[in-house]
Amino acid sequence: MIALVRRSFERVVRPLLAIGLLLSAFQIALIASASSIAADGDVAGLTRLVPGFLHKSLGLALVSFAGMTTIGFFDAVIVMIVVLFAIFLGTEPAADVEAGYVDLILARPLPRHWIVSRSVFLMTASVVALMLAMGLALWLALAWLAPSGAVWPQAGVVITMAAHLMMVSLSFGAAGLAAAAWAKRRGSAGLAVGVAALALYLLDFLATMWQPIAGLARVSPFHYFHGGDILAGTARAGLDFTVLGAITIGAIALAYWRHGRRDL
Amino acid sequence: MARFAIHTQALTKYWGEVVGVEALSLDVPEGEVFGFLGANGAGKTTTIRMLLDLVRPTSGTATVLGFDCQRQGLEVRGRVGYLPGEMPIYPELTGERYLTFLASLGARPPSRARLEFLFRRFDVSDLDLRRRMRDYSHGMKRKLGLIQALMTDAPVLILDEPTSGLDPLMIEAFSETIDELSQAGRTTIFMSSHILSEVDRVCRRIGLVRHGHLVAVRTLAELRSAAPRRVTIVFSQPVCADVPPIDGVVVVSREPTRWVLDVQGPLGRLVASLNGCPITDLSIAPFTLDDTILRLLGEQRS
Repeated sequence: MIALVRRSFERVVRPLLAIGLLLSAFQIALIASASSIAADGDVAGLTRLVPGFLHKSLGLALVSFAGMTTIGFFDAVIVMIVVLFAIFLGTEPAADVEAGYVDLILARPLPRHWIVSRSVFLMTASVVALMLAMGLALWLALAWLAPSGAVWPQAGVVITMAAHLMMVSLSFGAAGLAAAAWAKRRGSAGLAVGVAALALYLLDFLATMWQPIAGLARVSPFHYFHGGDILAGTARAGLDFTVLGAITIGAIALAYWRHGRRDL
Repeated sequence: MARFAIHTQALTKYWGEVVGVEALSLDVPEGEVFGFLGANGAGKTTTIRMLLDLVRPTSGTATVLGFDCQRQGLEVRGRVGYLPGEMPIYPELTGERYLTFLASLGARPPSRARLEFLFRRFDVSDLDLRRRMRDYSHGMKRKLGLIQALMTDAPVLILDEPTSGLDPLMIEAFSETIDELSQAGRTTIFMSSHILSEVDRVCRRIGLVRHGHLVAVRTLAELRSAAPRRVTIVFSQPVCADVPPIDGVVVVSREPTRWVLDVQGPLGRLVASLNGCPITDLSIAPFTLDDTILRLLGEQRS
């Protein structure tokens, strides 16, 4: 198993580092920007510049220095980068079939489920590593750039944000894993789940503006991660983690079941 | 009773409505070198991948060394060295790291002596091993493929198109290796191919598969004895007599000064019947496996 994980890690280490650096750089740039605005003394004035429909999703992020510094964990682009990377990692079993690696790996005395276990481990470890890198970058940037007297975000809030982002990403990564257990091509599995992720994000986003579809948004994993609610202290983290955890575990179980029965 | 290294019973695989393999029953005794012949798409690779549990049969069973390929897949795969028909590579790895990675997945790590022997046999240098696989030629990739299949001294070797892409020297090196393993008698070799000369060189018995069906299993000796030889007789002057009616003699063409006959069995009666004819030349084309295989396939088709 270690050899399998190591081989896969060697293949993704470059994109992982690149994304980690990108997200960390964004955290630092964000803190620099927030520090600049805070130094000008018009943090609350930002609210006037943002369209009304974004207020719900950004919420308190716009009215305090501490809030602004957490945007890096729930901005749409950041969230989609981490989600799509998790999907990419989750679809590795389909890549193994597509490239014929299963003919080398599973022609040896290895249980089939190791292929899925390896991807679960790699996906989880990579997403956790990204969260740690973002958290570390946030902390370093605050220590380095925050104006004296500025109120830092509470550690609990940052951890909750990171945990939500991790769980949303893992739920989609697990969906990618399940799709890869059916697919013979990584592209088809990744595309299907990636497009689904975008559609579900848009659904959740629209639901914040259009009441009739608010109920429908519950099917979207993004419904269980609203940064504004976490900042406001109104998020139901227990429910969020339960739903996202159930999606993740269910999709992983489906992947194990299907991969064990498929033709490779 | 001989123990079978490979045994399949009514092995069947359908891909939807397409027949991959149907009712394939086959026994390969331990220590045998068995050639599995057929055209592209005949079902050779599907059969092999069912033996390795990469593909699950629709029905039927397969065992390797007595272990069920589906229910005891780990036991089977721990005893098999496998060369895939299309050799997957990790382009970013060097040849050495590629072999190290594959060795780390196996039940038994290969000995350094065995690897050195195979590197010498297949002319793989240290420099080759240090190059990334993306820079390898097709033949070089196949050589690494053969080495990874042979490196663990597995009791059963399953080789899918083993000489595809190899140059004549390497084909000879491969044949030599198979001969040595065969003589040692500890290794069963099951190799698929559509290159008949390769099978003719190393196999003792062949199975012929067509459209997913096993149409014949013969030893090469049986094929040779059953194969008609093409006899061409040239006369110094026109011969009006008919070709004598002898069992096993079929007229391919008959001209006044030149007869072409296919003769199955001993030639003695034909030669005796030509006594007194003005023969200037008599040539007998050697047995070719190709003709026999094509004839067998033709019979099945008709």
